[in-house]
Amino acid sequence: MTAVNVAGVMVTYPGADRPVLDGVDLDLADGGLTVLLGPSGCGKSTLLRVIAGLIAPDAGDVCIGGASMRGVLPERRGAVMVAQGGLLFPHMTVAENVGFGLRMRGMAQGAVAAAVDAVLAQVQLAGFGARRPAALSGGQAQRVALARALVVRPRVLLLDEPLSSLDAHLRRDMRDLIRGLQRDSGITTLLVTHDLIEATAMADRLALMLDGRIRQVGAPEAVYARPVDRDVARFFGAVTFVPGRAHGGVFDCALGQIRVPDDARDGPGALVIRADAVQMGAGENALTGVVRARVFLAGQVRLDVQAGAVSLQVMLSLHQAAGMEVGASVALHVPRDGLWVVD
Amino acid sequence: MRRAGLLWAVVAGLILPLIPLALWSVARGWRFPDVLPPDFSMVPFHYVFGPVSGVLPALWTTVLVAGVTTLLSLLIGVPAGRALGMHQFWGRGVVEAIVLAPIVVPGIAVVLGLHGVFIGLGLTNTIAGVVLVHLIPVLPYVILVMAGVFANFDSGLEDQARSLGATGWQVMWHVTRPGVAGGVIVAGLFAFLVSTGQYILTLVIGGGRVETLPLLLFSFASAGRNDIAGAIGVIYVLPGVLILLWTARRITGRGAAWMVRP
Repeated sequence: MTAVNVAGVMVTYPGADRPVLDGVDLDLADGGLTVLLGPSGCGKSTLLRVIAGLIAPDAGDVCIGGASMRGVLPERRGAVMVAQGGLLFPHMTVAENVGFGLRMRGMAQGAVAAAVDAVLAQVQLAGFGARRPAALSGGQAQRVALARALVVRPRVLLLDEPLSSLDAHLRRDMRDLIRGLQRDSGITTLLVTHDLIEATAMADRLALMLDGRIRQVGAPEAVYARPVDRDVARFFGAVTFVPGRAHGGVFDCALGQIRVPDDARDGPGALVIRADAVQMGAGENALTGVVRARVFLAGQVRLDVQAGAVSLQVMLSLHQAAGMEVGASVALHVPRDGLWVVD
Repeated sequence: MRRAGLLWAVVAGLILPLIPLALWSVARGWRFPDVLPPDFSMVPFHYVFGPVSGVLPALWTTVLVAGVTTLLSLLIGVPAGRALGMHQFWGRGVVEAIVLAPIVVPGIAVVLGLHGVFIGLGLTNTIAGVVLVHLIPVLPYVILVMAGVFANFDSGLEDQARSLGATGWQVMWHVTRPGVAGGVIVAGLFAFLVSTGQYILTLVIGGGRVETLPLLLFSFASAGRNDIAGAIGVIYVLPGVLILLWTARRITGRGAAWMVRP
């Protein structure tokens, strides 16, 4: 039905010395949920507004369903945005908010009411129609905003940080609700977030954006395990980079000869050792070291281990970390599947 | 209790100065050293509403001039206030200074020069000329009130409405209008009251042909007819008080609650 293609989009805000979007290319698969992940200020929300038609790019183009959107007004794009915090119209009731898009399209009152009731039930807010937005909790407001967008059957759904205003215990419910509604409706969706967990949990495809550019696109697990460069790896939580040289699945560095995946690039580079890839005891790529620091992080334990000239971070369960106090010597190994080589 | 006391203090401060005015309008033979009038009569009001005094035509002229001035000032001031309240643009500081200038510069300094210009344009001694010159003191209030209103209005709501499929006009009617209506009423009230309060500008540009209530009031007061000036004064104050009481409920009640962002 509706694929979205963003090609070469450039946006520079007036007075800024650097473009906020610096040649962005991004394809949204028809009917899928793509997550645009990046730190605050990297240009994610701007890209959303460009697709929605609220910002005209200085260069490049957005195609929705194969048609160029150049000069097409926001209300004619069928790309509906759900803003951070919901942004409900404060002078309207919940039902009036949800029915807004349909009323603007001239739908008859009875039909609007029926559609509103149906969609409110979908977001588990049946019976909330008469309330005012001020009387809603953050989670309820967010669900009303979602219902208001879904009821117009948009071609593209643009979600801007839909979970960021919610308490931790509500996030998972909302995450599952969005994922479920998206799957059922099959609406092509772009979700913007800065939260790694949120992104990897929800995405069919994940696009990582840094400094106004899309740096890597792919399945969440692939981006996580096979970062294209050091910045991407660092964004996904990697802290240990060991310089060296790879050739034929072996990486030569201060830790010795380390086996790496066969599809890792050859030549000089840095070995990425994720904290969660390091395991205790003997095995492939065995190492020994001394515990320099130990931090308890709500159920997990992070150890800083000095292995020769290299300082490693290791993430263990509380159980695994038993007896590993500061100063203790430890035997570690890193299975090659948990390793990767970047520039 | 303390709030009630404060309220009464404000009311007393506003009402007390008007009491001599009201007394004068119904007094008969009130001379020094009497503290209160020895006798009351409705003669001043009979005279004022009679055909000779010219008060009723002057009242009509005042309301007409103030009404048209209010409408025009809103037509100019609402978009200008929106630009100043919502957007950053080059030269904004200069525009703000120009908008504020009429509040700082006394009207009499400007009106004598303007008189010459208005003669050239054939606008002296006309209602149109008086309306035009009233816009000078009125516009700063309207623009400043609306700039404040728009600065508190979340333009994200407009974007959201567009994204949901509303056209520009629909956004303006269904989202922007309800969001700023309370502010527009306040600005219009200011415009109306500032216009009805004009004396010098009306006198010079209207040339005595456009006779509004303040002009009439002044001529009776300077002629020593305190009773008739008092009666006119009561009529003059009344519309403002009535409008204020009527709008205060709309501005402070539920009508304004949604002006404030949640």
